[in-house]
Amino acid sequence: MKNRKPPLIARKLLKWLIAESIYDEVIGDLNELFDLRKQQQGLAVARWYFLKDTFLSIRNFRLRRKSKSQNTTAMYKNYFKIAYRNMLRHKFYSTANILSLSFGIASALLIVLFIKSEVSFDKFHENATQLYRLNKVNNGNSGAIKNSESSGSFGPTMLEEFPEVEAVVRYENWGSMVFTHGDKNLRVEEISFAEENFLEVFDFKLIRGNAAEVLKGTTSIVLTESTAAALFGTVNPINQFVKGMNGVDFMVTGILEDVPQNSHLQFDALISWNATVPGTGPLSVNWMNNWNTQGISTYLMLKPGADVAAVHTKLPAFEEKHIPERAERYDFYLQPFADIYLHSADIQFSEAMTGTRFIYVMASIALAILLIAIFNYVNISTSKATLRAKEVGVRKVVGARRSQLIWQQLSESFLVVMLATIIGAVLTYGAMPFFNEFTGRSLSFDLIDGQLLFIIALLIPVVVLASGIYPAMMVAGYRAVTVLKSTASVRAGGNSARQVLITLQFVITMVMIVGTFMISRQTQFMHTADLGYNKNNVLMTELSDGLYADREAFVNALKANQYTSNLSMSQQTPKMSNIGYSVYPDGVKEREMSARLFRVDQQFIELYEMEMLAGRNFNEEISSDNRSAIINQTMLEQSGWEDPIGKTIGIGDEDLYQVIGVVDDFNFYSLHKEVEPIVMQTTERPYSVSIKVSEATRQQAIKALEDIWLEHETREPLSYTFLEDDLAAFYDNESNILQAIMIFAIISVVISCFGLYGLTAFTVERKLREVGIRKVLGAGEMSVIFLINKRFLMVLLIALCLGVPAGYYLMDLWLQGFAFRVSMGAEPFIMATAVLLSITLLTVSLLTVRAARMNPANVLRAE
Amino acid sequence: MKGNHLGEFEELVLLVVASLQDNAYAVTVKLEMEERADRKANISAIHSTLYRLEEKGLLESEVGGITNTRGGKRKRYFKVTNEGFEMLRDAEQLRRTFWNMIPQLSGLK
Repeated sequence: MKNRKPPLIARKLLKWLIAESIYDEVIGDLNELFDLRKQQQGLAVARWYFLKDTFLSIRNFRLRRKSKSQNTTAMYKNYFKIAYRNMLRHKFYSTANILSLSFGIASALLIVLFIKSEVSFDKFHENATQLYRLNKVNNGNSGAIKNSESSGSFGPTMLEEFPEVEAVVRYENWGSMVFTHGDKNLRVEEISFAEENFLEVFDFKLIRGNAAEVLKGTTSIVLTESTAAALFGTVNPINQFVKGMNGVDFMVTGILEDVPQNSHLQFDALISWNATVPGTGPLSVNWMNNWNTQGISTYLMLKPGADVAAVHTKLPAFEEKHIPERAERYDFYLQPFADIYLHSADIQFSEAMTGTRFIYVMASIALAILLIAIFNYVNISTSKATLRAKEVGVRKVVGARRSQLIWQQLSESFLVVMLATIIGAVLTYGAMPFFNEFTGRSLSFDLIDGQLLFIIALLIPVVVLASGIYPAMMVAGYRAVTVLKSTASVRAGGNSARQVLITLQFVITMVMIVGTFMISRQTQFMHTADLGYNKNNVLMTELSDGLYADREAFVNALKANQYTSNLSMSQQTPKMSNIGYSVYPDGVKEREMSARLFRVDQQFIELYEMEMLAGRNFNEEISSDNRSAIINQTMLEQSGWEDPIGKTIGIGDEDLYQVIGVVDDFNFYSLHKEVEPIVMQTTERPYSVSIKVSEATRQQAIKALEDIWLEHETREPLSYTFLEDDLAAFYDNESNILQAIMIFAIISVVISCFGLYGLTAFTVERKLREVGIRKVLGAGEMSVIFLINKRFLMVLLIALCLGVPAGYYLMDLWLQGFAFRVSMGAEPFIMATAVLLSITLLTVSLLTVRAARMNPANVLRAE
Repeated sequence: MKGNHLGEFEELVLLVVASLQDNAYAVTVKLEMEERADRKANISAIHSTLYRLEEKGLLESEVGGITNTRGGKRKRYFKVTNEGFEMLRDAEQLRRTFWNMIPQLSGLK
């Protein structure tokens, strides 16, 4: 056996425990017993007893090692006093240090809070780890695309055939619906249909009603608290009726707490799924309950310990059995429920989410700002270190040990960091409302939050060590003899370290500036990009049930009004993300493709100013146009047709349509998505109204629409939007966060300026005598300015060489998240260089010019 | 004075130290106690008692030479002081007095 000695850890412990005066005897006794036992009972037993003896020795309080009385409290009091005096003596440097660290800490705290809330999404469900969403990979004509939709018959059949599946929840977000109670009409924005076990599987808090019962009926509706309050006021809504779509009366069976913000499932009311089942429910929505239409979300709860991989291996056979004609194209898979919020950026139809990209960007920015602040501290305190040399010398002479000096310096860092943390916390608190507005979150800075306190408690020592340890080691390393004997100033030391740090700072700042430029350009681009149609001044509304029945009168009235006469009636509009249909070029089933359908009228293409590339538009005069289709450029490319006009196309299970024209590609929904194949056809059942208004008469048009609406519809209130606002909303979440990022980037630049200014001030101070001598010998102002600036310019140059590729790489990475993006170009880099150069020169020159102009006699007099 | 009376374990340790004469240090005390009194005691308990008795003035000690067997550490040899012996004698005396007061047993003796 290798180790024949008593356990090391026990010996260490003993040494720490037992009073120094008797330690030798005690360990000796234990050693003797150890040897004895080793001979009699073997090594293992002996070691075990040694451990036991040691631990039992802990109870010998009277024999405890007393901490050596060094009067440490007085010492630390002295440290803090000196630190405090030092801070007062160098007010400028201390302020720069504290301010930059407070900004750094505040940014870090804000971003930590943000990330914490992002990561907490969907974690509040007790079954979260067993929950999955049924997604699929659609290997269509435009490549393999993931989406989150499945068909209504899929889930319940899986429940029957997969032993691993414990429960299946179907869910469909229907959008808005108008509810009527008494004489009150209310448009409720987010109505969802949910399986009867929805509230049992997911942990949304039910205030009234029984989770197992409330969604059982065929006309049950569960309202959230605020919806209930808006509809019923103070009246008890339970067992009351509200009239909803198709005039169906829904009975309120339960009240939910409002859905927490950190849930990706968001709804204002839930209607029982049974309402949609044909033959059972009054709404009878066939497409939500068949095998083929892929339009709903299916959530699965697996049994505890069930193997997801096992489910995955059985899915192909399942598809083959139930949807044989699509089995090849679809690959279904389960996505863990907790991953949905952050890991669905590449999944179609999944709710708009920020994704992990932002988390990484935010986290890196927080780290970068903190680093810049720490670098400032290191730079300033190492360059100031010589000023402390005498103090260190004296402390050493009177017997201070190296470790004590390090502690002294660290206690100064601690003081600075504590102050910065307090200011940073106040800043965080103050900035919270603005940050919330930018990011669209409702974060709160809550010190009672244990996790946050833990993070702060962790942050303080990390920052203290990161910023303080190097200067502390340097200062403590001064040799007493040298610093006290020589009258000449001590070499500052740490020069190269400072150069490296300031270069890094410049690199980080450079990347931040490039990032800021790129972000604002991309944001601009998304708001102003050429979408392939004109989105401006389009007033939009949708027909209510009542108007739909009598739409001709309503449309005619609109057409008769001068402000609303230019209008188009359609089923789809460019802001919608409509579902994909199977289409068959030339009607050949084998050439199946997935395309988006736009059911429109003759005015649609004209109103949106889309461009016809070939053929003609629909024409109401030509009766055969109800069997005609217009395709877009992408559809043309993917169909393989040379000349599409006159070719036929099969759409879904319907008969063949004849292609009469080709329209240029236009973006619908969000610019995050690629353009997909589109087939347009005419419709008899339009419900979306698009009215082109002129910029000058927007208000009149709105008024006209309101009046005409009220004439024809008494139950439902009008709700209208402008298309450009709707589209901007797609990017709101993103552009807000981008703005927050930009603000952080600017903060980082400002903090770097603090550090730069401090460092320059110090350099100038130290070079004053040199400058004086040079001036006496005849140097001009310019050459003096250059003398001091050249060091910073060198650093800047190196930083540019590193910053440009780093910035390019990072921005490229970020831009890959957009299907349509601005090109990078050289401008951001030129701009960043210009900004950095001017900031540096401005900061540095402010001080150097003064140095260059001073009277050399002032500094040389003392020699 | 409260400190003047001996605990049972203290008395035992004191007796063992006295009986070991020149060879009384923690380990031998422990072994002797195991052998003669059939009493298991952890070394830490012996330590605590020995040092306590020394503080009470019932034991005195000196440090012995370095030996190889103990990892080069010294031993502390304990010796019963006069006060210690007195204490032991007092305790013995006290006991005997009470024994004598128990009629049938004293008769048997």
